[in-house]
Amino acid sequence: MAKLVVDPVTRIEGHMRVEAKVEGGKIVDAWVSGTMWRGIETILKGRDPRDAWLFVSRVCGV
Amino acid sequence: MSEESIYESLLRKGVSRRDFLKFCSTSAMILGLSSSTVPKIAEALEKKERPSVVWLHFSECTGDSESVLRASKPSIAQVILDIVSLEYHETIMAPSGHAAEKSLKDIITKKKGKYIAVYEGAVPTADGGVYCFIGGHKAIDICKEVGSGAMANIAVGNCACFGGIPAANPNPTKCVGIKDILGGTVVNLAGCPMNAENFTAVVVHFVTFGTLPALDKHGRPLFAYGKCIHNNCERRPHFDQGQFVRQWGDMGHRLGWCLYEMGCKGPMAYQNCPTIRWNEGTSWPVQAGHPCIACASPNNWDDAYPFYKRMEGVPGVGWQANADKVGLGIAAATAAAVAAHGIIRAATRGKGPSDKEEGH
Amino acid sequence: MATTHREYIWEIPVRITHWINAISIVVLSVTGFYIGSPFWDSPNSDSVLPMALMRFIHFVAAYAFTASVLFRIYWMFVGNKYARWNQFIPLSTERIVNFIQCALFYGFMRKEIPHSPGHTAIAGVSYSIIFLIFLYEIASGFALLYVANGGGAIYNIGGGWLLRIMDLGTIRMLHHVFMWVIWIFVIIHVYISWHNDIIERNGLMSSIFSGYKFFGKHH
Repeated sequence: MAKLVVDPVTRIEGHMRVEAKVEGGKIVDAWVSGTMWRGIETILKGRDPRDAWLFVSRVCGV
Repeated sequence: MSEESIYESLLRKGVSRRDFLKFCSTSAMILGLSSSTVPKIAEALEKKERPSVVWLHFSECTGDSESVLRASKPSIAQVILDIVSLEYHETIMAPSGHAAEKSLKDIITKKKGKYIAVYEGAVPTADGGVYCFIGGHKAIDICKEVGSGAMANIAVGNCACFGGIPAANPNPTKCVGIKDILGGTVVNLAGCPMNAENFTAVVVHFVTFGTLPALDKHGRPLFAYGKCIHNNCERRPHFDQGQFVRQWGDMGHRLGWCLYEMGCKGPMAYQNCPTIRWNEGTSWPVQAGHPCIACASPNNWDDAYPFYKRMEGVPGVGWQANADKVGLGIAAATAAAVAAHGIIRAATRGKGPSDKEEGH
Repeated sequence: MATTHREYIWEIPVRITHWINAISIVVLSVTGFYIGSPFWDSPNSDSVLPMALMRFIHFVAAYAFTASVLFRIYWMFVGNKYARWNQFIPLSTERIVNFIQCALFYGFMRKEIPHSPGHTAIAGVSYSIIFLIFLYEIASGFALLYVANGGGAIYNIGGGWLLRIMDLGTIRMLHHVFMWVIWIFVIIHVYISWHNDIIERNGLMSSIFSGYKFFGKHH
């Protein structure tokens, strides 16, 4: 039983980590995690609703 | 990998000599240099090797990479990828996982002191910096390791320069800019995103002259961030003439009037947006009818906020009030209190002290 | 036989700076309010430039105001006893007692206003506070000009340092808020002067023109 880790996953936006359990050449279990958090929802709280789109569009620049 | 010169690599990609010289002239123009420097720039790009660039991503949205990658036609933006040797860039590189990590390790050891490090995204420092991990390493550690061996450190985008949007109140991850981590000279190409043409100009300057361009007190190159947007805006005559957009879609908006009353932060913003504009000179927010949000200023997400109001709100009164409403309210209350005092005084006044002096 | 005599209280520099302040505050407020919230939609004419004009008038009035405020501060150290700095900062027992007695009088808890030929101690303290606000308005104005013009030595000395202490949005907001504070002060100042003139019957309102107040035989 081997453990496979791919980090960083490239050619995506953001940071992702994939861990997989491999048995007999087959993946039997896998975990995917986003390894970066900015808290944009927290930052939005209490602000003028009309400005929300300006913040939220910065969630992803693609 | 980067033994051929910049010019040779451009020729190989099908860029003509004429386009190459046009590019050199445009670079000189953006940098604010005279036309006599054009031959010097051309010579440098002809002879010098493509500099190795390592592009790191931290707490970001990839907007600055997209700014560089957006090219609808062969142009300055596309040429960036040809004038540098981009050795590490997580959004477009082929290898992933261990192979990607090895790629980075190789460059920073084999080319120590000879690569340019570009940073996109802020570095979170809360709770020991756990809010951004790449390949099992914290962003703050990667930043310090790569930054210490670079010949030039360039932070692109407001996040990498000043903390940007993740650093906006209440800054849950305690994000800071690259300069706060590395210290020393860091070129801050601010903007949200930065303008790719300014990035190219910085690289061209570095390749040609071997030095980084003059920086302002926030570390932003003066050639791009030295002038106030309000002073170079094409709608300034409307401002001086008192012609303001009052509502989205009103007659003034359709006629292209000044966006001051819609909250334009041009008077406090510094960037060359009105002159070189975006998407290869297509447009910029004000031209398109949206007020400037001062995206290249430190803390603009709190300072230039609210974006659709002239002034930030008075603390403690909520976003709907503003200084005028609060001020008018208190002044009215004062006038009422003063009137009441006057009435009470008139009603209760007995003979005043000087009435006793009636000796004449 | 007349038992009143007149005393010269407010010197010429005091009166001149007072009126320059008063007039420039009105001009600065109206033009300043327009600059922050343009309330007048201009006629469709290329030769009328209201915002540019308002800014120009605002800046001229601002320089007059700055000169007046700075000169008055200088005069606090060379003027007569009624113009001195110690009238504005109550350090002696006499002034502190005057302050308390005045407060009680305005609060309807004392029958007589305490005697003070010059400023009452409360007036003095209120003018100190308002002068600090004037200085902030001057410094923040220069700071805003510094940002708008991308530099300038005079703007830098006048207010460039403020940019290192506060962020620009706050500077602008306070510049606007303090205009309202000044107007609240003006309301109270004019009322109290009017009120005291009636109570004391000493020609108080006229004194800011002539410089003289009139007192009875006990003085």
